[in-house]
Amino acid sequence: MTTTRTRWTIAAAAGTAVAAVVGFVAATTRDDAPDTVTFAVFAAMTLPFAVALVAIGLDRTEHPEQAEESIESQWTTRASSGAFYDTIVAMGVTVFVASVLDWNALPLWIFVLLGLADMSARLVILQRREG
Amino acid sequence: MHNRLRVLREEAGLSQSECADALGVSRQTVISIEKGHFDPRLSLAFRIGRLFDVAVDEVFTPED
Repeated sequence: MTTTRTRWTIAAAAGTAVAAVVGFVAATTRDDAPDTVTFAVFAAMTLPFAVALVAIGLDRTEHPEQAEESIESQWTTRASSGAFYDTIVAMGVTVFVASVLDWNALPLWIFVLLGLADMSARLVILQRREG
Repeated sequence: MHNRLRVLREEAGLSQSECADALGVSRQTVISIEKGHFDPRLSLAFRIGRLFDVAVDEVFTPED
């Protein structure tokens, strides 16, 4: 099993490499800003998520409980399925409104934020109601 | 499902944390089972039965 320090060191190195690759690809394909700016923005935005993903992937800590037998797992499942339903409905309504009002561009990132916020709110409510 | 987890746990003199550790689940899971908010899977139900040395149907009974 890797130590915590080793795991985060590997995660930082691998995450930086991934962020650099994403930044490089963005800089070579996009032409809406100077390459250095595009590289810096995309690499910086990618870095924390890449580091976190690698760190999670390297975590081999043995957790005492079996996830599917925990109430926390059930809360997560219920919150995510509810948020998914809400997001689909919101997207459907927005597409309808956009077609009526002849909007050309739909900001999809809003639905990502909506879904995450919805799931977080549902988790908090479930924990307070049943916890 | 009705369950007698709280009664069995208290008879055995276990705290919720000790019971959770013995079953390999979180304390929150034990609390939720005792409140009737969470029906555990069969494998956990059998572990509960083994922990208190009773049959599963002495812990869990269906609501009629």
